Amino acid sequence: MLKGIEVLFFYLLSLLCIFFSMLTISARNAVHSALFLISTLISVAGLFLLLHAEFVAGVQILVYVGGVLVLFLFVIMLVSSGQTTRRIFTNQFAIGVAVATLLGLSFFAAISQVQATNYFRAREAKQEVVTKNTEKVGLQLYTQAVLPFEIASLVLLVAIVAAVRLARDRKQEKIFN
Amino acid sequence: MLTTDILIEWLVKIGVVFFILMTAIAYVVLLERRLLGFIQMRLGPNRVGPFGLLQPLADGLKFLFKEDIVPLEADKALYVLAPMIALVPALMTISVIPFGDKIVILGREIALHITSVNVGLLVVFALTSLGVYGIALAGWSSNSKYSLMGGLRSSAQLISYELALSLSVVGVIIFSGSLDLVEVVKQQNSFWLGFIPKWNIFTQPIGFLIFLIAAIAETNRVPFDLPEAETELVAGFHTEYSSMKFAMFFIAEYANMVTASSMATLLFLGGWYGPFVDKFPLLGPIYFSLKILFFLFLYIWLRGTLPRFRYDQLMRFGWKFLIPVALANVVLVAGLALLIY
Amino acid sequence: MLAYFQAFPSLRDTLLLMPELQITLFACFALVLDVILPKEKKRLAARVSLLGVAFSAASIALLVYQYSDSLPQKAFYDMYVLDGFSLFFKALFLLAVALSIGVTIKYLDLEKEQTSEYYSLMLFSIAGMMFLTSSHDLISIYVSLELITLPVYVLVGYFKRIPKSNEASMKYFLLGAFSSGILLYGFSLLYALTGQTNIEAIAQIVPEIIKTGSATYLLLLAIILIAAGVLFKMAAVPFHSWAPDAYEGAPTSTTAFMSVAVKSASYVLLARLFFEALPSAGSVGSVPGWTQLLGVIAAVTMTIGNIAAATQTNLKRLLAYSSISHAGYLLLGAVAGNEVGYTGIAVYLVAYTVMNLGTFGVIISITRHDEGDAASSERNTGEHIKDLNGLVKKSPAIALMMLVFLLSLAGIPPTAGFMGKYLLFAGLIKNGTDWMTKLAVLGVINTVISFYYYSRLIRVMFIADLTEERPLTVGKSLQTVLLISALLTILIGIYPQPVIKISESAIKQFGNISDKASGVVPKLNND
Repeated sequence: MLKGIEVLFFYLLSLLCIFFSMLTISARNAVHSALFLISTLISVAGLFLLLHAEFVAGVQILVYVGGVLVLFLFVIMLVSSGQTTRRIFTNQFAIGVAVATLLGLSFFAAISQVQATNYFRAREAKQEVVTKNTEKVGLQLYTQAVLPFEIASLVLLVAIVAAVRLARDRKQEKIFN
Repeated sequence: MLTTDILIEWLVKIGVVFFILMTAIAYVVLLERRLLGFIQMRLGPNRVGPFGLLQPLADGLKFLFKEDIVPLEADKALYVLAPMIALVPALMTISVIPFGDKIVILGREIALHITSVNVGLLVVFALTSLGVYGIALAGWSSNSKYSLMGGLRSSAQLISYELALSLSVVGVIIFSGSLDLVEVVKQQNSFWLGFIPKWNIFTQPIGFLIFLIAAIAETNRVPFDLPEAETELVAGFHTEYSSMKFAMFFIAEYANMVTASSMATLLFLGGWYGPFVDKFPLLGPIYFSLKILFFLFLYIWLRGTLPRFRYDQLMRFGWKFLIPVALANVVLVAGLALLIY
Repeated sequence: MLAYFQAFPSLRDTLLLMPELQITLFACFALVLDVILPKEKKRLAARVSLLGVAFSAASIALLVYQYSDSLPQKAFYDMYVLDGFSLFFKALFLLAVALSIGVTIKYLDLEKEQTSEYYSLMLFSIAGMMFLTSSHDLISIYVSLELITLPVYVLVGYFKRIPKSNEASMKYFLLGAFSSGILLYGFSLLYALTGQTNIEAIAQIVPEIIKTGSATYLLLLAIILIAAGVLFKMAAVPFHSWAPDAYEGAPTSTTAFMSVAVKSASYVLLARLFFEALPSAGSVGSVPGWTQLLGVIAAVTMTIGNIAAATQTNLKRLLAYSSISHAGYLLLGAVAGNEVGYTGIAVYLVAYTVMNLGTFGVIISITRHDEGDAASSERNTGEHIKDLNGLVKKSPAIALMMLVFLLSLAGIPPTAGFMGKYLLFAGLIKNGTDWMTKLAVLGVINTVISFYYYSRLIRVMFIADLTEERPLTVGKSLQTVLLISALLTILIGIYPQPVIKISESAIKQFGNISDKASGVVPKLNND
């Protein structure tokens, strides 16, 4: 359970997270959009910190912010020289809003039911505070999660092959064949 | 619970460390100019104050009073934000770096680090990885082709060398079994045969070299200073910057150098440990500073000696040499760890 | 230190993984061959891949021999389970990939892009499917799903010079990633509700939630999100719009592979999640109940698929819509929710694999290139209905086999397709609910509609005059594939008992839960 100042931080970070993610999808400039995404991810890292998952928070920043999104930004900067895009899909906008509202309302209903019945609070009693979470993550990865871990490495291998296949053009293929 | 005296202790520590860091940065700049002068057989700045010792002050004043220019076609918000994004993480990193063991002042036991995080190493890496955005965004928002090229180069370069950097540290983590920087240092405390210190540099020299090379690349210093290669890109990502904004990039670069040096010290050179530290804990920060100074000297020496890499050489070196060697090093060190422990 | 080693998976665990490991190994091998082999010898990679499939099939046989009495076998901390269901589908996937490789050899020759990467990616995808069949945990399910789809995105856009192929790949990738996201969101809600990722553990907690009625809405939301993700993958209405574009733009061999293997995989996903993890999903106290919702989706999917297919002139597009309608038929088995329906799904997937691959094989056999315009987007002759004109005069054997496949797709006895449809409809009728019977009738009506457009193809093959004089170029590999598919299609149609028996044993494990799952609140077992 969060206490005292943590509650304040939770709401602050959650609001920031929602705010930035909305800006991410509504920004017209691709670079701005990427930056808002970065801000969202940093807020999420903050939420992880509140959960005392320091390792996950650090990795979140290191991998997503420091790695993946730098590449995003790199590609965006390389491809587009900063023109803002027109709004497309205008005729689907109304449908999008309707679906989003519906989804939002149903989430609201679902959460309020869970709140009313204290569902999560009843379950929470079973949980324990995890210390040394870096070691825990490492152990979990190599015991409980070893199979998905290895499958994920296959996914990465395929991703490399895919990237090479899609990026290599015919001229280069001639050289290599 | 957060009490007033802890809060005051924090604030004092932050203030002192910040002051020392800024002063150090200013004098590293002077040191660099004097040393470069010495290497190139000229004098360097020696007019302001004795031996030019007041030169940093003069430089600072000059930066403050210069006209601040924002290019007309620039993305204004990002143009202003970029130097801050570069500077803030660079300065924040120092907060998790321990520079000594506990000392007693005025009857209070004070640990010589601003804060201790159990994933300190990760925090340092996370924060330094944020620094790239300052450079990349500065390049993009200036709306100038030289800046853009500089920004692109830096993001590619930093991503490439960060892998090698992280991999080279894995060996240290295997030895210490912790991501806490204090633990990492304490593990290097004892001696072999009574006189060889148990520093990681002796057990994993390959890891140390990889770390050193990658760290120099991460700080965009010669011979990896392609983001600001003046012979090709005018001044790279900060071509359009002037006045305090330029100074912020400048400070960020030197703060990153200090961080990289202190990381190398902590991870491989036994941090604040040295002779008689156990009896006089105040010696700790002094040893630590001397070790950092050694690395800073190395930085400057390299700048005076080596030519710049070509871009394709840089990439080939990073991906085809440094990363495979770093991976091999991880395996090697893991094997070594099995033998020793 | 020793404790760490003891925590590692044992040799037995690894042996259970043998079929997947072998496929993965051969996939890597094919990848390396791409670098080693000279251009004209790249076909060797296909043979190597087939060898891998054979090895994998052999180890499946060994596993069946060793463990047939002691299923299910669990491994890797209950992440992996070897049961009748997974063995059945592993075998089916191997059949599908073997036939696909046969089709691909010919097609890549036609396109002059014989590269080993294609086979390698196909094998990786199949490895993912095999992992999926045995995944008993949300995490490994999701990761296997990614391993399935990632290679297929590339296979769809394999010919970079063809804009249509690129577009198809982009569409498939974007929507596929989107649907994975929705699926993952559903998973995360399910995890929040149960605190478990293991399928079996979830299956124990879900009835509890329903009994106490404390978080039913959130559960329903999780179910809907997961279902949306799954329906996306199987291209059911309203998540079908990517399929026609992706099927048409993709290289024909990829379309063949996608339409059978990836589709079957999505039903494996459906079974693991909805027959096993959320068996009592139908009882969530909500206004249209889960089963009814699925029934509506199945009905709409069948109908829209068939009506849209009837208006198509491009063969691949027609088959894309027909595959959407088949997705609808298959959902009927899930709606029925009893053993007959589930058996129907399994049998129909086997039938669909052979008949659809056969059909695509015939399409590839009539594909030709006009000289010199390999780069233009309209370069394929053989994708239009009129390219089938008078096929019987050119090659009676192939026309006859195409006849078999089309009749089977339409569900005319005595073919495999008929057996599958029969079981699916029988499941609905056996369930006995009034609206389900009506749904079965709708299914039959749909079969009639589908017969309309399949018969159009039959007509042009047998009655229309030849418009394309150049002879067919059917390679040895394609001939073999066509022959095997045709034989299997007829064999399953005439003598379905073995397949039905195996299918029954495969879905047996879902039987005891699902017999009650049709809209009524199931009694809580497990205590």
